Amino acid sequence: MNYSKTAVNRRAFLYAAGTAGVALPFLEGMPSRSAFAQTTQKPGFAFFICTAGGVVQKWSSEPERFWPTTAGPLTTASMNEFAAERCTGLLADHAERLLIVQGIDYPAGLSGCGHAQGLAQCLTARPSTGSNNSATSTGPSIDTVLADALNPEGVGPLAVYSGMKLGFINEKLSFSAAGQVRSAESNPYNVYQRLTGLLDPGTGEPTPVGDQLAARRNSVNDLVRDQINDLKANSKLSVADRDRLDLHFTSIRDVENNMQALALSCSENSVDLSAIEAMNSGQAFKQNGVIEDVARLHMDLVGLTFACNANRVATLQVGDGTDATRYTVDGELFENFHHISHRVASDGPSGTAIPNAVERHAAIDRIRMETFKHLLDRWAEFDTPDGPLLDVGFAMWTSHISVGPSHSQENLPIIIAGNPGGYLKSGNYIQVDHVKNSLLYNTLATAVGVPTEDFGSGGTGLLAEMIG
Amino acid sequence: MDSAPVGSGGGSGTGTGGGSGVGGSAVGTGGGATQVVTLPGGLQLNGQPTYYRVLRLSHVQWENSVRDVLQLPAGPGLSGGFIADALAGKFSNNERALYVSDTLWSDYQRAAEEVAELVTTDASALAKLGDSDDATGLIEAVGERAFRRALTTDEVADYSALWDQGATFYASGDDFADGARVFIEALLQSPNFLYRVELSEPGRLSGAELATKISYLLRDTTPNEALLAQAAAGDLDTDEGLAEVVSEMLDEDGAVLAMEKFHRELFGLDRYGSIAKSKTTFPEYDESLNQVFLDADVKFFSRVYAEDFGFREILLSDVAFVNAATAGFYDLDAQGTALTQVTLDGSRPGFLTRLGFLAYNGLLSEPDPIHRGVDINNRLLCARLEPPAGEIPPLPTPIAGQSNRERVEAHTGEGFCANCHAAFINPPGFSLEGFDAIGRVRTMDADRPVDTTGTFTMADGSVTFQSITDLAPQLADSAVAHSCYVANLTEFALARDLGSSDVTLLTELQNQSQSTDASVKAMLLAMLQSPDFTNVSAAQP
Repeated sequence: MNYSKTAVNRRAFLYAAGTAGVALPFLEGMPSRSAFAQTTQKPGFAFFICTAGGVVQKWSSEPERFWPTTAGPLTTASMNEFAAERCTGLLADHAERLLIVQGIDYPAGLSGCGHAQGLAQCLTARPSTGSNNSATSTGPSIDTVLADALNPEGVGPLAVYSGMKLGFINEKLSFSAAGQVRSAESNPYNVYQRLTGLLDPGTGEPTPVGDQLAARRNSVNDLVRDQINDLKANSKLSVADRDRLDLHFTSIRDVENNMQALALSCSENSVDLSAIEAMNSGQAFKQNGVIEDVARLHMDLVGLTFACNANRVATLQVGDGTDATRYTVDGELFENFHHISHRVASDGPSGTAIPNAVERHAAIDRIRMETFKHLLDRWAEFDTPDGPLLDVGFAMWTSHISVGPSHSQENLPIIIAGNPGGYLKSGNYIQVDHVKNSLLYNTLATAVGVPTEDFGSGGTGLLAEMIG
Repeated sequence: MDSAPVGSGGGSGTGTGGGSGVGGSAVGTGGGATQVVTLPGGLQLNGQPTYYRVLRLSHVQWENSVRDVLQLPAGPGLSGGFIADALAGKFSNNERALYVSDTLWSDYQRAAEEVAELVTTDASALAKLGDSDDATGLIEAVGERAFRRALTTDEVADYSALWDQGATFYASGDDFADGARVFIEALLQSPNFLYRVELSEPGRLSGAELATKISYLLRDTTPNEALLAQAAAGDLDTDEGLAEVVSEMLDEDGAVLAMEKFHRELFGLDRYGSIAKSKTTFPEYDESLNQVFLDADVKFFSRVYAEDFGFREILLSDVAFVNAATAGFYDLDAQGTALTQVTLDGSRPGFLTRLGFLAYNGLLSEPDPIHRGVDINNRLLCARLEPPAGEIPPLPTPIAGQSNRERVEAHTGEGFCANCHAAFINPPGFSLEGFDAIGRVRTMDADRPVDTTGTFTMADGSVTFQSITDLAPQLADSAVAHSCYVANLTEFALARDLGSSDVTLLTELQNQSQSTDASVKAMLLAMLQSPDFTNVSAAQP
């Protein structure tokens, strides 16, 4: 017997668990949450993107290829002026939606493997712990905190990944708690399937089949829950065993909640199903050289997820610390990106110098910025029940180190696209002086309706320069 | 685990995932206290074993188990779509990594529904599971395979009640198939299927639990009826009986595959996908060779296990596997794409002189003694080499007339860098300077003979060598190297970190490996009879 996955049905629509009576978009369920009583900001959407290897910016003898030329307001015209040399200029079409922040540092400096350390600090705003590639977080990441406030109880953030996983670091961006890294999905097909797991491949309307599905799943879940409880009651199990079963129990509830929270409106937002299927075929998403293609699909799917109210928080890790992607630029196959970022042909700091490595890295930065521009282009088309996605949510682009050769943890590249509720000073390039990323996240959390003063360990309060 | 004297490590390791979780959940992490114990050769263990009694199946095990529980000719091919488990230890089967998140639950749910549909809409597939007039019989038979034990009366009643709802849920007109469908959906989502559950009193596991544990280690699937029957007959209740049963299993293909997986992860063979070489220096190289390097090393380690060799063979073997594309790098000839076994001369002892290791730890055109040395320290000796703090300057461009070794020594030989490089990292790397960046023998560098001599400081003492040909035997006799290997083997087999409770076993295995050159198979057999494997302890507080 041969068996393969059913292809994505192009006529598929969500039908919200097949039980319209219990379908409840998140936005209707949120105002009662106490967090929102303290702010005028409406609950929004937050997407954090972390790329690998840093960017080419002024460091040592290397040239500036990233930051805008002048601090202050950004316009399409002003950004076009430096677009040929500095990659942020490629976002000129969306100048009024951008807030570019220079001068953000991690809480702790470099000591050891900057890649794992950087990833573990990137969204946690706390110093990492552990050594080498085992470095891990000392607290939850901001996406976890926001999901806890913005999503129905127990629904964690969506975590996705593009690029190869070679087993050295892999995903290390989203943490549910200190040292607890959240698995990140690499295959866009699976993200789509999970989002639309309630698809009716037929008419797109709620049908009796949907009711049967919900009823059947409820019956099965009830039986499974009873079995988990029976197991938990066994006195021979340890606390750790019970905690593990508790998570299983909670996960069942989370999936049920997600089913109930799906809104019909998201079906109007399309994604490129052909590309998703192609990337699934033969597990093409794992291949070298498709990292940006996969990132773009994930960006589309996160936008769809937000539009569907299936989740309000997501992370995308683009490559791990030793991203071995080989980019092709103008028909030329470049060396391993990790090596290029080191400027030498090695995963370590020493090795044969790669000719033109700085300009090759800068060219790759431009490709990555085009990918981010894709997000802006696509998200401009997404609506949520509260308005256009870029008016109620943001996407933050960064890298887990700031500069490739030094692995510096200071002056990180930060671009924020979107302006939830008009809270941010969008349309500007601002420069601050060695501010820890705690304040960045306090401000972004507040922007999406989660007033926060003390996230992480890098200081308290908001970053006033970011606020419009 | 670390061999303490090397580098700046050696203290208590934090590892990954050491704490308890938010909101009272400690899921995915241990939570057990770090236990530091020392093995022969000075190897320190600092793991955080949790000793779970509910151990989730890996994705491969889910796939194989569904195949065997439902008697399918092949796995349903759905687990490849499950969200991958994040790394949580040295090996992918570490107990800390194996839990059910909401994402994975969604995957399990969808897969169970798809498999149930597949089986119950295929009359011949459904007929294999039981008579169409005996729902209870089918529930009992399939349920026993899924749970690795007989279902209780209550469990049969619960599934029967669910079965009866099938006709309502599906209304296909075939009430038996509809009932079976919802039953299979529920069965494959049961914690008693998704986890290996060990509920024995403290002490030796029950026969069925031991059969399950052994089967998942050596076959990566649920125990078959024959093994469960042996367990029911008491064959696994004594070490002697267990040894008899396991001895045969250790010779099966499944065990070879299990040890292939172990060595792939231990020596990082899957990193070979990122090998890159200069087309100018190596015009015969293209990226397709990376897979050949990997396949050759997989065969190398499979042979070590299957032909009853021990750890020494890994370091001293004169066997390699080549095809037409790679034979030339060994100065041999071969035809075709299939890998064939060849015997090399004495200048190429063991895994460290095979193309995969040398090419992965090679730069585009030059050998990379630093990373060859780091890999030897980390993977063979369980050393923990801490990268230095701050910015690490890259190797300078070679000066005319300067050899690769001279360049590395000039760059790392003084000051803070020398603390690790001079004694620990560079020497074993220099021993391989007789091999170029892709693994070919080379005798000259910068117009003079390559210098492969040195003195290497390990946790159990210093050794002096002329090249890898006499360093490899000294590594093969090193107490810490044997400690490291048996500790890794045990960590993989027990699927958890090692702790103080494992010292007796590890010391005995280390002695077998070093003193009697015990085979990997023999050490596995000894390990499976030890209380570390056969027993469970009282619940941890």
